[in-house]
Amino acid sequence: MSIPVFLIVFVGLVALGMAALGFALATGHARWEMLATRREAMVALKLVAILLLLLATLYVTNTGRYTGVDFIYGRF
Amino acid sequence: MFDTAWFWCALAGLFVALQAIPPERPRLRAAALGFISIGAIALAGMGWRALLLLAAAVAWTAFAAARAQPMRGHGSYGRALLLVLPILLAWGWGKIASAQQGPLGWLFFLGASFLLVKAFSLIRDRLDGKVREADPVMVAAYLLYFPTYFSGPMHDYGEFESTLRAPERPRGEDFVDIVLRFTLGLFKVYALAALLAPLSLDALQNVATISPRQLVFGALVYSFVLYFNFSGYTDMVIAASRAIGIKVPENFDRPYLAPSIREFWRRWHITFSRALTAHIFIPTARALSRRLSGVPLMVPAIAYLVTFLFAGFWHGATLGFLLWGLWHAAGLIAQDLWQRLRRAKPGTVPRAQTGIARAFGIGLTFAYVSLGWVFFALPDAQLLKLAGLH
Repeated sequence: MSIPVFLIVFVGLVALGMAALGFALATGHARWEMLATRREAMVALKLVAILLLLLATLYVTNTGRYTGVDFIYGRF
Repeated sequence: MFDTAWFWCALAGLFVALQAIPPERPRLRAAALGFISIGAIALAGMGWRALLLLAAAVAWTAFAAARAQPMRGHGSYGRALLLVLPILLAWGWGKIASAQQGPLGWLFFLGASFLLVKAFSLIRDRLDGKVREADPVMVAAYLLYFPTYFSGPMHDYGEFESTLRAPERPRGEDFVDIVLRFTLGLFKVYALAALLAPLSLDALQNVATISPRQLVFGALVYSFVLYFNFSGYTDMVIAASRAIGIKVPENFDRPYLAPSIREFWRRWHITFSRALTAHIFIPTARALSRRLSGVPLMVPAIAYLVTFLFAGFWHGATLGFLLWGLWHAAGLIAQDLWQRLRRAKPGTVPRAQTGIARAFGIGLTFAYVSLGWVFFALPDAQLLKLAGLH
Protein backbone atom coordinates (compact mmCIF):
# COMPACT_ATOMS: atom_id res chain seq x y z
CA MET A 1 0.00 0.00 0.00
CA SER A 2 1.48 3.36 -0.96
CA ILE A 3 1.81 6.20 1.56
CA PRO A 4 -1.08 8.38 0.34
CA VAL A 5 -3.40 5.38 -0.03
CA PHE A 6 -2.60 4.24 3.50
CA LEU A 7 -3.28 7.70 4.90
CA ILE A 8 -6.52 8.06 2.96
CA VAL A 9 -7.74 4.61 4.04
CA PHE A 10 -6.78 5.18 7.69
CA VAL A 11 -8.23 8.66 7.99
CA GLY A 12 -11.25 7.59 5.91
CA LEU A 13 -12.01 4.66 8.19
CA VAL A 14 -11.81 6.80 11.32
CA ALA A 15 -13.97 9.51 9.71
CA LEU A 16 -16.50 6.92 8.54
CA GLY A 17 -16.75 5.43 12.04
CA MET A 18 -17.22 8.86 13.59
CA ALA A 19 -19.82 9.82 10.99
CA ALA A 20 -21.75 6.58 11.55
CA LEU A 21 -21.75 7.12 15.30
CA GLY A 22 -22.81 10.77 14.88
CA PHE A 23 -25.60 9.77 12.51
CA ALA A 24 -26.86 7.06 14.86
CA LEU A 25 -26.84 9.46 17.80
CA ALA A 26 -28.52 12.25 15.81
CA THR A 27 -31.32 10.06 14.44
CA GLY A 28 -32.03 8.38 17.76
CA HIS A 29 -30.85 4.95 16.64
CA ALA A 30 -28.29 5.13 19.41
CA ARG A 31 -28.21 7.02 22.69
CA TRP A 32 -25.34 7.93 24.96
CA GLU A 33 -27.18 6.05 27.70
CA MET A 34 -26.81 2.86 25.65
CA LEU A 35 -23.09 3.23 26.08
CA ALA A 36 -23.52 3.08 29.86
CA THR A 37 -22.56 6.53 31.11
CA ARG A 38 -20.97 9.24 28.98
CA ARG A 39 -17.84 9.08 31.08
CA GLU A 40 -17.50 5.34 30.54
CA ALA A 41 -18.18 5.81 26.83
CA MET A 42 -15.35 8.35 26.66
CA VAL A 43 -12.99 5.90 28.34
CA ALA A 44 -14.05 3.20 25.88
CA LEU A 45 -13.49 5.56 22.94
CA LYS A 46 -10.06 6.50 24.27
CA LEU A 47 -9.13 2.84 24.59
CA VAL A 48 -10.23 2.22 21.00
CA ALA A 49 -8.20 5.26 19.90
CA ILE A 50 -5.14 3.91 21.71
CA LEU A 51 -5.54 0.56 19.96
CA LEU A 52 -5.97 2.19 16.54
CA LEU A 53 -2.97 4.47 17.03
CA LEU A 54 -0.81 1.58 18.16
CA LEU A 55 -1.88 -0.58 15.23
CA ALA A 56 -1.21 2.23 12.76
CA THR A 57 2.20 2.95 14.28
CA LEU A 58 3.11 -0.71 14.24
CA TYR A 59 1.99 -1.01 10.64
CA VAL A 60 4.13 1.90 9.49
CA THR A 61 7.22 0.88 11.44
CA ASN A 62 6.96 -2.71 10.21
CA THR A 63 6.60 -1.97 6.53
CA GLY A 64 10.14 -0.72 6.14
CA ARG A 65 9.19 2.94 6.05
CA TYR A 66 10.82 3.72 9.36
CA THR A 67 13.45 6.26 8.44
CA GLY A 68 15.15 6.89 11.75
CA VAL A 69 12.96 9.79 12.61
CA ASP A 70 14.23 10.53 16.08
CA PHE A 71 15.08 13.77 14.38
CA ILE A 72 14.86 16.17 17.27
CA TYR A 73 17.04 14.01 19.46
CA GLY A 74 19.62 13.59 16.72
CA ARG A 75 19.62 17.17 15.63
CA PHE A 76 19.90 19.05 18.88
CA MET B 1 15.12 8.13 23.33
CA PHE B 2 11.73 6.42 23.76
CA ASP B 3 12.82 3.34 21.83
CA THR B 4 15.73 2.60 24.17
CA ALA B 5 15.85 0.26 27.15
CA TRP B 6 17.69 2.80 29.32
CA PHE B 7 14.85 5.31 29.13
CA TRP B 8 12.22 2.85 30.31
CA CYS B 9 14.47 1.38 33.01
CA ALA B 10 15.25 4.88 34.31
CA LEU B 11 11.59 5.89 34.17
CA ALA B 12 10.53 2.74 36.04
CA GLY B 13 13.24 3.41 38.64
CA LEU B 14 12.04 6.97 39.03
CA PHE B 15 8.42 5.83 39.34
CA VAL B 16 9.32 3.43 42.15
CA ALA B 17 11.53 6.00 43.90
CA LEU B 18 8.95 8.80 43.73
CA GLN B 19 6.18 6.49 44.90
CA ALA B 20 8.29 5.28 47.82
CA ILE B 21 9.51 8.69 49.00
CA PRO B 22 6.69 10.86 50.41
CA PRO B 23 6.20 14.46 49.16
CA GLU B 24 7.06 15.68 52.68
CA ARG B 25 10.67 14.81 51.87
CA PRO B 26 11.23 16.85 48.67
CA ARG B 27 15.04 16.95 49.03
CA LEU B 28 15.20 13.16 49.09
CA ARG B 29 12.88 12.99 46.09
CA ALA B 30 15.08 15.52 44.28
CA ALA B 31 18.21 13.53 45.15
CA ALA B 32 16.69 10.31 43.77
CA LEU B 33 15.59 12.15 40.65
CA GLY B 34 19.05 13.69 40.18
CA PHE B 35 20.91 10.39 40.60
CA ILE B 36 18.62 8.43 38.30
CA SER B 37 18.74 11.25 35.74
CA ILE B 38 22.51 11.42 35.59
CA GLY B 39 22.59 7.62 35.21
CA ALA B 40 20.09 7.85 32.36
CA ILE B 41 22.06 10.65 30.65
CA ALA B 42 25.24 8.56 30.93
CA LEU B 43 23.46 5.53 29.46
CA ALA B 44 22.19 7.70 26.59
CA GLY B 45 25.76 7.70 25.32
CA MET B 46 27.33 10.81 26.81
CA GLY B 47 31.10 10.38 27.09
CA TRP B 48 32.87 10.62 30.44
CA ARG B 49 34.47 13.98 29.59
CA ALA B 50 31.07 15.47 28.77
CA LEU B 51 29.64 13.94 31.93
CA LEU B 52 32.38 15.52 34.04
CA LEU B 53 31.70 18.84 32.33
CA LEU B 54 27.98 18.42 33.00
CA ALA B 55 28.57 17.57 36.68
CA ALA B 56 30.80 20.64 37.02
CA ALA B 57 28.21 22.86 35.31
CA VAL B 58 25.44 21.57 37.60
CA ALA B 59 27.59 21.97 40.73
CA TRP B 60 28.55 25.51 39.73
CA THR B 61 24.95 26.52 39.00
CA ALA B 62 23.74 25.02 42.30
CA PHE B 63 26.50 26.89 44.16
CA ALA B 64 25.89 30.19 42.34
CA ALA B 65 22.10 29.98 42.76
CA ALA B 66 22.38 29.14 46.47
CA ARG B 67 24.78 32.03 47.13
CA ALA B 68 23.04 34.62 44.96
CA GLN B 69 21.30 37.39 46.89
CA PRO B 70 18.44 39.52 45.52
CA MET B 71 19.71 42.75 43.99
CA ARG B 72 18.16 46.17 43.63
CA GLY B 73 18.13 47.94 40.28
CA HIS B 74 18.95 46.54 36.85
CA GLY B 75 22.28 44.86 37.58
CA SER B 76 20.90 41.32 37.82
CA TYR B 77 21.17 40.63 34.10
CA GLY B 78 24.88 41.34 33.87
CA ARG B 79 25.59 39.51 37.13
CA ALA B 80 23.64 36.42 35.97
CA LEU B 81 25.51 36.47 32.67
CA LEU B 82 28.80 36.67 34.52
CA LEU B 83 27.82 33.74 36.73
CA VAL B 84 26.95 31.46 33.80
CA LEU B 85 30.09 32.51 31.91
CA PRO B 86 32.16 29.58 33.26
CA ILE B 87 29.50 27.14 31.95
CA LEU B 88 29.38 28.94 28.64
CA LEU B 89 33.15 28.83 28.23
CA ALA B 90 33.42 25.21 29.33
CA TRP B 91 30.60 24.20 27.00
CA GLY B 92 32.14 26.18 24.16
CA TRP B 93 35.49 24.53 24.75
CA GLY B 94 33.85 21.10 24.82
CA LYS B 95 31.97 21.78 21.60
CA ILE B 96 34.96 23.25 19.76
CA ALA B 97 37.06 20.32 20.90
CA SER B 98 34.53 17.74 19.77
CA ALA B 99 32.44 19.17 16.92
CA GLN B 100 33.32 20.00 13.36
CA GLN B 101 34.21 23.62 12.84
CA GLY B 102 32.68 25.58 9.99
CA PRO B 103 33.30 29.23 9.13
CA LEU B 104 31.06 30.20 12.04
CA GLY B 105 32.56 27.64 14.42
CA TRP B 106 33.71 30.31 16.84
CA LEU B 107 30.06 30.94 17.66
CA PHE B 108 29.51 27.37 18.85
CA PHE B 109 29.40 28.56 22.44
CA LEU B 110 26.01 30.18 21.85
CA GLY B 111 24.40 26.86 20.99
CA ALA B 112 25.07 25.59 24.46
CA SER B 113 21.86 23.81 25.40
CA PHE B 114 18.69 23.78 27.40
CA LEU B 115 20.87 23.49 30.49
CA LEU B 116 22.45 26.88 29.89
CA VAL B 117 19.08 28.59 29.45
CA LYS B 118 17.77 26.96 32.62
CA ALA B 119 20.90 27.86 34.59
CA PHE B 120 20.78 31.48 33.44
CA SER B 121 17.06 31.93 34.10
CA LEU B 122 17.37 30.37 37.58
CA ILE B 123 20.29 32.60 38.60
CA ARG B 124 18.59 35.69 37.18
CA ASP B 125 15.34 34.85 38.97
CA ARG B 126 17.32 34.45 42.21
CA LEU B 127 19.00 37.83 41.75
CA ASP B 128 15.64 39.44 40.93
CA GLY B 129 14.13 37.92 44.05
CA LYS B 130 11.57 35.83 42.09
CA VAL B 131 13.02 32.60 43.51
CA ARG B 132 13.39 32.94 47.26
CA GLU B 133 15.44 29.85 47.92
CA ALA B 134 17.46 27.56 45.69
CA ASP B 135 18.32 24.32 47.40
CA PRO B 136 21.40 22.78 45.67
CA VAL B 137 19.88 19.28 45.54
CA MET B 138 16.67 20.63 44.05
CA VAL B 139 18.66 22.72 41.54
CA ALA B 140 20.62 19.63 40.43
CA ALA B 141 17.37 17.69 39.92
CA TYR B 142 15.90 20.65 38.02
CA LEU B 143 18.84 20.85 35.63
CA LEU B 144 19.18 17.10 35.11
CA TYR B 145 15.58 15.81 34.93
CA PHE B 146 16.25 13.38 32.10
CA PRO B 147 12.97 13.21 30.09
CA THR B 148 13.28 16.95 29.37
CA TYR B 149 17.09 17.14 29.37
CA PHE B 150 17.67 16.62 25.64
CA SER B 151 14.87 18.52 23.91
CA GLY B 152 12.70 20.18 26.56
CA PRO B 153 10.08 21.36 27.37
CA MET B 154 11.88 23.61 29.84
CA HIS B 155 10.39 24.08 33.29
CA ASP B 156 11.17 27.26 35.07
CA TYR B 157 12.57 26.56 38.52
CA GLY B 158 9.41 27.50 40.41
CA GLU B 159 7.28 25.14 38.31
CA PHE B 160 9.69 22.26 38.84
CA GLU B 161 10.03 22.79 42.56
CA SER B 162 6.27 22.96 43.11
CA THR B 163 5.62 19.80 41.07
CA LEU B 164 8.23 17.93 43.09
CA ARG B 165 6.87 19.21 46.41
CA ALA B 166 3.21 18.63 45.52
CA PRO B 167 3.13 15.81 42.95
CA GLU B 168 -0.07 14.96 41.09
CA ARG B 169 -0.63 11.27 41.66
CA PRO B 170 -2.52 9.84 38.68
CA ARG B 171 -5.11 7.20 39.35
CA GLY B 172 -7.70 5.17 37.46
CA GLU B 173 -8.89 6.98 34.36
CA ASP B 174 -5.90 9.32 34.44
CA PHE B 175 -3.79 6.43 33.20
CA VAL B 176 -6.04 6.08 30.13
CA ASP B 177 -5.39 9.76 29.33
CA ILE B 178 -1.67 9.27 29.93
CA VAL B 179 -1.46 6.23 27.65
CA LEU B 180 -3.56 7.99 24.99
CA ARG B 181 -1.28 11.03 25.02
CA PHE B 182 1.82 8.85 24.87
CA THR B 183 0.39 6.74 22.03
CA LEU B 184 -0.58 9.88 20.15
CA GLY B 185 3.01 11.09 20.46
CA LEU B 186 4.27 7.71 19.31
CA PHE B 187 1.95 7.86 16.31
CA LYS B 188 3.00 11.41 15.41
CA VAL B 189 6.71 10.62 15.55
CA TYR B 190 6.94 7.06 14.26
CA ALA B 191 4.04 7.01 11.81
CA LEU B 192 3.07 10.48 10.56
CA ALA B 193 6.49 12.12 10.57
CA ALA B 194 8.12 8.94 9.23
CA LEU B 195 5.62 8.69 6.41
CA LEU B 196 5.93 12.33 5.41
CA ALA B 197 9.70 12.74 5.85
CA PRO B 198 10.64 11.23 2.44
CA LEU B 199 8.40 13.83 0.76
CA SER B 200 9.84 16.78 2.70
CA LEU B 201 13.02 18.86 2.70
CA ASP B 202 14.72 15.85 4.32
CA ALA B 203 14.74 14.25 0.88
CA LEU B 204 16.45 17.29 -0.69
CA GLN B 205 19.49 17.37 1.59
CA ASN B 206 21.91 15.90 -0.94
CA VAL B 207 20.24 16.06 -4.35
CA ALA B 208 22.12 17.70 -7.23
CA THR B 209 19.38 20.12 -8.35
CA ILE B 210 16.21 21.38 -6.70
CA SER B 211 13.37 22.92 -8.69
CA PRO B 212 11.31 25.77 -7.11
CA ARG B 213 8.28 23.45 -7.06
CA GLN B 214 10.18 20.74 -5.21
CA LEU B 215 11.46 23.31 -2.74
CA VAL B 216 8.05 24.79 -1.94
CA PHE B 217 6.35 21.39 -1.70
CA GLY B 218 9.20 20.00 0.40
CA ALA B 219 9.00 23.01 2.74
CA LEU B 220 5.24 22.70 3.21
CA VAL B 221 5.51 18.99 4.01
CA TYR B 222 8.54 19.58 6.23
CA SER B 223 6.41 21.94 8.36
CA PHE B 224 4.29 18.95 9.32
CA VAL B 225 7.24 16.58 9.68
CA LEU B 226 8.92 18.91 12.15
CA TYR B 227 5.68 19.59 14.00
CA PHE B 228 4.76 15.91 14.30
CA ASN B 229 8.28 15.04 15.39
CA PHE B 230 8.69 17.76 17.96
CA SER B 231 5.15 17.87 19.33
CA GLY B 232 4.98 14.06 19.33
CA TYR B 233 8.20 13.92 21.32
CA THR B 234 6.75 16.51 23.69
CA ASP B 235 3.51 14.53 24.06
CA MET B 236 5.55 11.50 25.11
CA VAL B 237 7.65 13.50 27.57
CA ILE B 238 4.57 15.10 29.15
CA ALA B 239 2.73 11.75 29.38
CA ALA B 240 5.72 9.84 30.78
CA SER B 241 6.35 12.61 33.32
CA ARG B 242 2.70 12.72 34.36
CA ALA B 243 2.81 8.98 35.01
CA ILE B 244 5.48 9.57 37.65
CA GLY B 245 3.74 12.65 39.06
CA ILE B 246 5.94 15.35 37.46
CA LYS B 247 3.99 18.07 35.69
CA VAL B 248 5.76 19.33 32.55
CA PRO B 249 4.63 22.57 30.85
CA GLU B 250 3.03 22.44 27.41
CA ASN B 251 5.26 23.32 24.47
CA PHE B 252 2.78 23.60 21.56
CA ASP B 253 -0.66 25.12 21.09
CA ARG B 254 -1.80 24.50 17.49
CA PRO B 255 0.99 26.72 16.09
CA TYR B 256 -0.02 26.43 12.43
CA LEU B 257 -3.37 27.99 13.24
CA ALA B 258 -1.64 31.18 14.36
CA PRO B 259 -2.90 34.21 12.40
CA SER B 260 0.40 36.11 12.71
CA ILE B 261 4.12 35.46 13.23
CA ARG B 262 4.00 36.93 16.72
CA GLU B 263 1.13 34.61 17.62
CA PHE B 264 3.04 31.71 16.05
CA TRP B 265 5.89 32.26 18.51
CA ARG B 266 3.40 32.19 21.37
CA ARG B 267 2.30 28.73 20.24
CA TRP B 268 5.51 27.09 18.97
CA HIS B 269 8.17 25.80 21.37
CA ILE B 270 6.40 27.81 24.07
CA THR B 271 8.89 27.25 26.88
CA PHE B 272 11.83 28.36 24.72
CA SER B 273 9.89 31.37 23.41
CA ARG B 274 9.02 32.55 26.91
CA ALA B 275 12.71 32.25 27.90
CA LEU B 276 13.71 34.24 24.80
CA THR B 277 11.13 36.91 25.59
CA ALA B 278 12.08 37.20 29.26
CA HIS B 279 15.85 37.04 28.90
CA ILE B 280 16.65 38.49 25.45
CA PHE B 281 13.76 40.47 23.95
CA ILE B 282 12.51 42.43 26.96
CA PRO B 283 15.96 43.34 28.37
CA THR B 284 17.17 44.39 24.89
CA ALA B 285 14.05 46.47 24.23
CA ARG B 286 14.29 48.03 27.71
CA ALA B 287 17.95 48.95 27.23
CA LEU B 288 17.31 50.36 23.76
CA SER B 289 14.25 52.38 24.71
CA ARG B 290 16.43 54.51 26.98
CA ARG B 291 18.97 55.19 24.23
CA LEU B 292 16.65 55.39 21.21
CA SER B 293 13.71 57.26 22.67
CA GLY B 294 13.55 59.47 19.53
CA VAL B 295 13.14 56.54 17.14
CA PRO B 296 10.67 54.15 18.76
CA LEU B 297 10.35 52.08 15.56
CA MET B 298 13.94 50.96 15.90
CA VAL B 299 13.52 49.54 19.40
CA PRO B 300 11.42 46.44 18.63
CA ALA B 301 13.20 45.97 15.29
CA ILE B 302 16.64 45.69 16.91
CA ALA B 303 15.23 43.64 19.80
CA TYR B 304 13.70 41.15 17.34
CA LEU B 305 16.96 40.93 15.42
CA VAL B 306 19.02 40.27 18.55
CA THR B 307 16.49 37.75 19.88
CA PHE B 308 16.21 35.73 16.69
CA LEU B 309 19.89 35.82 15.86
CA PHE B 310 20.40 34.26 19.28
CA ALA B 311 17.58 31.76 18.60
CA GLY B 312 19.23 30.80 15.32
CA PHE B 313 22.68 30.29 16.81
CA TRP B 314 21.20 28.46 19.76
CA HIS B 315 20.26 25.70 17.33
CA GLY B 316 23.77 25.62 15.86
CA ALA B 317 26.40 27.91 14.41
CA THR B 318 25.59 27.52 10.73
CA LEU B 319 24.65 29.92 7.96
CA GLY B 320 21.26 28.20 7.68
CA PHE B 321 20.31 28.84 11.29
CA LEU B 322 21.53 32.44 11.00
CA LEU B 323 19.28 32.98 7.96
CA TRP B 324 16.38 31.25 9.69
CA GLY B 325 16.72 33.64 12.64
CA LEU B 326 16.89 36.63 10.28
CA TRP B 327 13.84 35.35 8.39
CA HIS B 328 11.71 35.29 11.54
CA ALA B 329 13.07 38.63 12.77
CA ALA B 330 12.17 40.15 9.37
CA GLY B 331 8.64 38.69 9.62
CA LEU B 332 8.13 40.13 13.09
CA ILE B 333 9.51 43.53 12.11
CA ALA B 334 7.20 43.60 9.07
CA GLN B 335 4.22 42.68 11.23
CA ASP B 336 5.13 45.39 13.73
CA LEU B 337 5.42 48.02 10.97
CA TRP B 338 2.12 46.93 9.44
CA GLN B 339 0.30 47.24 12.74
CA ARG B 340 1.82 50.65 13.44
CA LEU B 341 0.84 51.87 9.97
CA ARG B 342 -2.74 50.67 10.46
CA ARG B 343 -2.95 52.34 13.83
CA ALA B 344 -1.54 55.58 12.38
CA LYS B 345 -4.13 55.74 9.58
CA PRO B 346 -6.63 58.52 10.44
CA GLY B 347 -10.17 57.39 11.11
CA THR B 348 -9.19 53.76 11.73
CA VAL B 349 -10.66 52.20 14.81
CA PRO B 350 -9.33 48.92 16.13
CA ARG B 351 -11.77 46.11 15.44
CA ALA B 352 -11.87 42.38 15.81
CA GLN B 353 -10.41 40.38 12.94
CA THR B 354 -13.06 39.07 10.56
CA GLY B 355 -13.22 35.38 9.66
CA ILE B 356 -11.77 35.90 6.21
CA ALA B 357 -8.98 38.17 7.47
CA ARG B 358 -8.13 35.60 10.12
CA ALA B 359 -8.10 32.74 7.58
CA PHE B 360 -5.87 34.85 5.31
CA GLY B 361 -3.57 35.56 8.25
CA ILE B 362 -3.33 31.86 9.12
CA GLY B 363 -2.50 30.95 5.50
CA LEU B 364 0.08 33.70 5.15
CA THR B 365 1.73 32.86 8.47
CA PHE B 366 1.87 29.16 7.62
CA ALA B 367 3.41 29.89 4.20
CA TYR B 368 5.97 32.26 5.71
CA VAL B 369 6.95 29.87 8.51
CA SER B 370 7.11 26.95 6.05
CA LEU B 371 9.48 28.79 3.72
CA GLY B 372 11.61 29.65 6.73
CA TRP B 373 12.15 25.95 7.37
CA VAL B 374 14.19 25.83 4.14
CA PHE B 375 17.02 27.63 5.98
CA PHE B 376 16.50 25.46 9.04
CA ALA B 377 16.48 22.07 7.32
CA LEU B 378 18.86 22.27 4.38
CA PRO B 379 22.63 22.11 4.94
CA ASP B 380 24.71 25.22 4.20
CA ALA B 381 26.21 23.74 1.03
CA GLN B 382 22.73 23.11 -0.38
CA LEU B 383 21.59 26.65 0.51
CA LEU B 384 24.63 28.15 -1.22
CA LYS B 385 23.90 25.97 -4.25
CA LEU B 386 20.30 27.24 -4.29
CA ALA B 387 21.55 30.82 -4.21
CA GLY B 388 23.92 30.05 -7.10
CA LEU B 389 26.98 30.67 -4.93
CA HIS B 390 28.42 27.16 -4.92
